[in-house]
Amino acid sequence: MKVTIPTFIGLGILLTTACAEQGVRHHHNPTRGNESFRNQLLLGAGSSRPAPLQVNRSFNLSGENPDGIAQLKLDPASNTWGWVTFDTNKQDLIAPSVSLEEWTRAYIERKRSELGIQPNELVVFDKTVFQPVAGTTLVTFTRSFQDRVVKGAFTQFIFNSMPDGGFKLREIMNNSYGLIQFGTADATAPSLQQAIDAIGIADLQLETSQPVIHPQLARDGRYEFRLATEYTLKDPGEGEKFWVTLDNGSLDILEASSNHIYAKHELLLNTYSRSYVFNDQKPRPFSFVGVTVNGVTQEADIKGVIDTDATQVTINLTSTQSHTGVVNLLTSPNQFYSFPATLMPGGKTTVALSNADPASLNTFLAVHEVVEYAKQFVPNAAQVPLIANGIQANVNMADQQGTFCNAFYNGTSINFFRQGNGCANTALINDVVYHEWGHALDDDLGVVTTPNGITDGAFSEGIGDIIGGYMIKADAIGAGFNLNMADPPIRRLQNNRTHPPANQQEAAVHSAGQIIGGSFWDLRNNLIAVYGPNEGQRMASSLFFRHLTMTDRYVDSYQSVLRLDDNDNNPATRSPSYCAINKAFARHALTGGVTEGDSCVDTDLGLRVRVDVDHGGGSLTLIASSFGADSIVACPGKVATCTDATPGFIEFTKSATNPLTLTGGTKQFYEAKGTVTVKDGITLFSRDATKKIVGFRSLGFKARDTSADLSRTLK
Amino acid sequence: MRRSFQSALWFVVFANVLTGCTQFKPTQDRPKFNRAGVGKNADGESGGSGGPAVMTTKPVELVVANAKLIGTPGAYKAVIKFQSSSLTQEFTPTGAESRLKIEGLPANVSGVIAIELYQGEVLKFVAKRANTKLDVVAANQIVIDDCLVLPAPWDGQQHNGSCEWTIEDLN
Repeated sequence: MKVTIPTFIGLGILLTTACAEQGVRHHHNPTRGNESFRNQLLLGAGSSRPAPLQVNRSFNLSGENPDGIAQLKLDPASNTWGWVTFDTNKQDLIAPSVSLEEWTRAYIERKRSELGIQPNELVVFDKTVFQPVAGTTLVTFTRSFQDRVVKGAFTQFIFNSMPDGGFKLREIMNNSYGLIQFGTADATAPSLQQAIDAIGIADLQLETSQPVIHPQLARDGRYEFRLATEYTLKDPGEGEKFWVTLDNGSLDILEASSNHIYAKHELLLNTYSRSYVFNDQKPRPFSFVGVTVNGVTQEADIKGVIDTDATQVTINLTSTQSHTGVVNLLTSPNQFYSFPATLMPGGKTTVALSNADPASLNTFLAVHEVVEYAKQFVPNAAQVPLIANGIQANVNMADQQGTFCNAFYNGTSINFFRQGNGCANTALINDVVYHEWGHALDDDLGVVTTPNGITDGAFSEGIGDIIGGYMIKADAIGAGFNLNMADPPIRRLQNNRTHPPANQQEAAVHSAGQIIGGSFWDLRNNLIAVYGPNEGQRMASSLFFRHLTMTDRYVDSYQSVLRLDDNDNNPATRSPSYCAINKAFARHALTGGVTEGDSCVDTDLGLRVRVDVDHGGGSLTLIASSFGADSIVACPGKVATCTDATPGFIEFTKSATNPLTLTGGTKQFYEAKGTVTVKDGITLFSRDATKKIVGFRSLGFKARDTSADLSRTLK
Repeated sequence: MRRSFQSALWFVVFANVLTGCTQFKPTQDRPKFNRAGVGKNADGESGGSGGPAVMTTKPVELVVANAKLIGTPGAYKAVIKFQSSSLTQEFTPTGAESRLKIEGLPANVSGVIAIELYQGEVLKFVAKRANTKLDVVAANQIVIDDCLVLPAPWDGQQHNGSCEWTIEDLN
């Protein structure tokens, strides 16, 4: 019985096919058809796989072994031979004149029980006898049962060619699926319309159909066999062909595949991490960039991956998902910037800034990065128009007066001047891009957003600087603004500016903006001192971005931040990071005269303990964790001070790699030098490298109800 | 004269006794105990006898609550560490508890027994039980409650008070 092409696809595991030269071949993300069809399409052909083979330990290879089997692996789902290897030194030589096909048939006849296939079920096809490489001959049969193709079933014998022209059997690979029994009665094959309805793509045309048996692994670890029909269908509009297998009774789609196979290609862009002046280019995913191939445009995903095996493409700095569309005013002022690109073999292409306009490229990804960062913290980010819709970015600007040295937000776009007048192209300085985007965010957030959301110019400038500084993790804003000069920057977040501005010059928006900029920079530093660089930055960012939703003036920021830091809904009690917040804003005179001193120490919410050993009587060996402490000390009770002269003082030191604690996570771990007595609780103090106390946490140890424990109930 | 002879004789006898004690002093070391008798250090270990380790003569039954183990089904490997011993046993948790028979654990010394539970080579849980002392001849049973079975490695994100304690902030 000849095997049709769809069954041949099911034999894909047997055949060696050349891999695509470009990328990894796969099925593209399907967008048409019903959900079940799309899901099966993603799995592709041959998705119903047999059970993993298991070594047959009960087979006594050293005893009676007339077949000369060296190793035997069984298919546990059918209890049949799965993979058999033979000691060819013990195998009889098969004369060159013998038909290997007939020899194999005779062997199968003798071992039908072990192989789980009957001789009359064997099906030949055009490669039943096949020499894939010199010296190796394969004899392969597929299987039919009751005149139905058993999908994916095969039995394969592998022979070595011997020097004298004869053969020896070296392996058997068997995927017959064993004994076939049906759980349900056969139903009539679904009609074409039923098949089309199940798939969910109208106007499909039938090319062929055939009855099949679809084996699949059931939950009990055995095979179950479904009576089904396999259709070959063509979509005349798209030219795409589908092979779909439907269960005759339930009309479930059991398998689906397509003749359209795409390659994934990963696009990266080399852009500046901070500024051209540091020459700090790094490849990054070219997220959400538009790519046009033969007039059809698709969008890269967030990892910069597109479905194409083309080599010549057009890259467009805009797409429906991108956070900006970039216009290069120098070359194409009336449309979004695009340029031709050649995709490299191997499925990965890194676009260099020199491949196209650097200002356009750098801006595109800088906007993407700041949005992805802010989205983590801005509440309901998807509803913020700037984040939902993106914003146009105009680069390489120059005005009639020939002024440069600037960048601005105008209510609808962010704009960057090209190089001139001793200044750099501002689109090549990432924190300038972040700063301008910050203005747009300020316009969208706050209590007052219409008709104009920017109600405090100095606050808006501070917002831009804060976002820039938080993103680059540095206080120097605009490094490289003066052409090829990293220093001095145009402003610094680390400053001593105080409210109110002392004079007209200090009151100018960019200058006055440093008051709030300095406050949030100090807040970041204070939180890092307790929680370490990662968690400290995260907490500062969370407070900053969230406070923008309720604050329209910088003089109100302190109150908003305290409100957001509150964890008991009571402003009469101190919030967990009150000291860090007060000290930061007090340095810039934004606390209404309330200034806390060194004795003000916050709760370190990152301090956690685990009982390593309970010695009984309230004596415990503890392990502690913290985000950023250099060391931890503890004293009994709820206390405000703890020195080595305090009775019960104990020190925890950072532990070396310990398999009982997680390496590479956000927390650090500390082991106690001794035991603690927890009758009255303990207070832990986190210290920095100078042993200065930066945080504390008082913990109580309450007796746990142990009445249901196994040790109490075990008989 | 007689008295002085008797005194001298007693002296000689006494001297010989002393000499004899010295001559017949045992050659092996005496068992060592600390000044306070059998005491405990931070790990609850008692002073050792100083002689070779005494092992249990019967298998120790280790009863482990399965509640957490069943959450990640499959076979486990228990590595039992007690004193200087480290023993391994494989088991597959079913039901409420697993009962393992462990042979050859040190007896007559108190200390912390640690059980590390692996799936493959990946550490999943750890349990430590202090003040564990096994009898040489009795049928010993060690019960590891579910509360004693702690996830490993610890990620440091939550307090964990083990069996006896609930840890809360002191306000």
